[in-house]
Amino acid sequence: MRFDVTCSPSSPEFPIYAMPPNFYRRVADALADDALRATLTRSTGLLRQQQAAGFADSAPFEELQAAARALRQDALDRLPALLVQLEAQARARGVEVFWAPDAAAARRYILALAEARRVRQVVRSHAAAVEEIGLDAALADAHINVILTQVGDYILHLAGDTPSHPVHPALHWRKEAVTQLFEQHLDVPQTLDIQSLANVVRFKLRRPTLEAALSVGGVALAVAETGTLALASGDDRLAVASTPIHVAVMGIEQVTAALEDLALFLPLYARSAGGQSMPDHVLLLEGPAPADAADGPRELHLVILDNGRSDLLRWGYGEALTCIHCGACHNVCPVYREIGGQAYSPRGGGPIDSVTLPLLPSLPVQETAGRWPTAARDRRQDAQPAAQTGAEPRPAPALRGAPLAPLPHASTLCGACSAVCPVGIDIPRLLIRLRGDLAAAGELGKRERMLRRLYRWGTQDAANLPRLHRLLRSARLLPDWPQPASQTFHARWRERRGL
Amino acid sequence: MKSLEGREAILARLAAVPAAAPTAWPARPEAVAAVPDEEPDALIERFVHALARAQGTWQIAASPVIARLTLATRLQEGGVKQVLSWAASELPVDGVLEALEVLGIEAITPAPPLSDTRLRPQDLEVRRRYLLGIEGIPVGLTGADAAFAATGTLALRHGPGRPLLVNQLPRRHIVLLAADQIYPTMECWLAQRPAAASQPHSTAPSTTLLTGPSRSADIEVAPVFGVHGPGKLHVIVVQGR
Repeated sequence: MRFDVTCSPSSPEFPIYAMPPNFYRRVADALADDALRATLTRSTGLLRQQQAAGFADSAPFEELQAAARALRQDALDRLPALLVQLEAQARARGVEVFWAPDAAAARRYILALAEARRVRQVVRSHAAAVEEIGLDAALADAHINVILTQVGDYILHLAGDTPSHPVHPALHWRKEAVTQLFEQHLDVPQTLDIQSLANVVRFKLRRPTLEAALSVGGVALAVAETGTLALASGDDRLAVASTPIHVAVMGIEQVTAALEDLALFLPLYARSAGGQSMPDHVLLLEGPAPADAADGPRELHLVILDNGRSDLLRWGYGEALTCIHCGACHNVCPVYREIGGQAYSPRGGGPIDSVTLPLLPSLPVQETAGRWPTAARDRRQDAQPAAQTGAEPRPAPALRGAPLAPLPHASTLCGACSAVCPVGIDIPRLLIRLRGDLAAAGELGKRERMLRRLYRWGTQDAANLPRLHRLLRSARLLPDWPQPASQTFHARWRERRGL
Repeated sequence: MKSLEGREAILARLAAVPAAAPTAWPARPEAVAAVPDEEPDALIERFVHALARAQGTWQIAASPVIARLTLATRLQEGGVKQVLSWAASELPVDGVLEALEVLGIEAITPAPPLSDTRLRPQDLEVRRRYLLGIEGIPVGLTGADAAFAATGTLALRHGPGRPLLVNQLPRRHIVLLAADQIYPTMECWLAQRPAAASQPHSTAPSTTLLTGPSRSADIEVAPVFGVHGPGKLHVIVVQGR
């Protein structure tokens, strides 16, 4: 049996959807793709239901959120001390610790390790920090085979596609497209049974995983007081058990003070991400396996990655680093639900990423500036910081992500993200501040600045609004600008009520 | 870049971060850290209820003898001839593996042959053959060091005689859990756990927290089981130990 599907990001014929190189084109493409939007609507709706059900029998969400926020903020406030403590504890247990200031340093370390151990096959589990450093391409360049263990990552890798969600990277894929993909690349019969499709991946991954000598994955949280690494992605379970060498990559922010913090964060993550009381599998690694143990990694390496995070802290955007990557903000965002994660950036994105991506180092995939002019670096560095209160003056961001500067504007600022965020990140506030910083840094071109001034004038007085609409359309500044309603809301209200 | 240079660079950058505004953060709420005072039977009931919600299955054995019978019956009915198992001394019920042997069920405690990570090709080949040889064994049998009634979670400490592969490799995982090892919450277990810092390195290199069978939802958010680990998890709660 064959299942015919039309060509779209969520139902691809191959080669997969070629990603336009700038934000505006990606958004236009996504909005024109009804199949993609239907898939997003359905899947994010399910995830929202699961999230709500997950907290039905827990302590009140607001209490958990406040506690989690306090613990994450406390960890950031004491970050240098906690990282040094983590390093000391981990080293005492035989863990090799490497501090990577940037992605290139992390890549070099892992590549050098693979070369030194003569590894030809690496198992890589789902982890944002590992994807961030561009390890897969670097390993491939070194002729080292990479096995991706998460089903979503596996699908994307086969298709040459990019992720769209932090927890469910293939959220935009429908089962009809997956079965076509598997038939074409894996030579297996088509089926629409999702368990059968997942079993195909299990079968394909099993032997290569057992044959590999080195595994690489992420860390949910690392505990400073004990040196414990909490691995919670689930897809890494067999690889960590069977490979003799394991490399865990963590961002500098993924440290927490005490082991008991895990009792709060693990259920909080699982409930927010998928309505489960706990992740189905968590491995608490406290060191390499002893010589008399039958399995587990004999060599355990921890890569502590900065890659621009310390800049976020310095510029006053540290709150964004308290994120636990559950994807809850994606699932409720009215913008994300229309355009999907791939429109945000070539490595995916969503509400929280609209804060971090423009501030982090450039993406490995080339992004063009689109209609937004790239400001000169010197202008950015001369920019003044936006006003703030209650803290030491923060330095202005050296905004180096000009092509992603539109992202903070891709928000209605409705606040749904903050309401569901398990650590209570005030994403709208950060976005507004970043908009100000981007404008101060010259990331807005003359045309954009003029349009914004016009818009401000037009919306300050109801009498100006019709003039604004006429001006925008007649001047052909925005040919797609919609025709305004014939009456204002208040006029319509008065008419209906006979006032 | 050497790790030391990277370390100093990162710490220097962090030292340049302006101090945050003083904020009165709330303390950890009582609801999070509360330690319920429950009777053992109530704890068991709450644990198995949470386990069932996580798609795990369970049986309660009134004594170790009944636990052996329950396990043997389950394996025999499933036509199982081989199990991967923790070492007999690490299981919470005595004589389990001997009882299985009498029934013709072979228990294997995996020990992949690799003493270090020098990874000579011939070492890797021996290891590969060994792992692929035990990969088809259908059932893994372990004990557990703790369980959390609030979430239906099992805690399995690993080390000599307690391989990770037993609860990762087979399609089905059976756990013998002593009833007195059930804690109300993870917080309670952590509070009574010896401080990791005081433990010799070799005693607790890793601990697995299992909540239900291996579950993923990567295609259309539909839950599927058994992709990364055992797709079925069965717990035999042993009373009267």
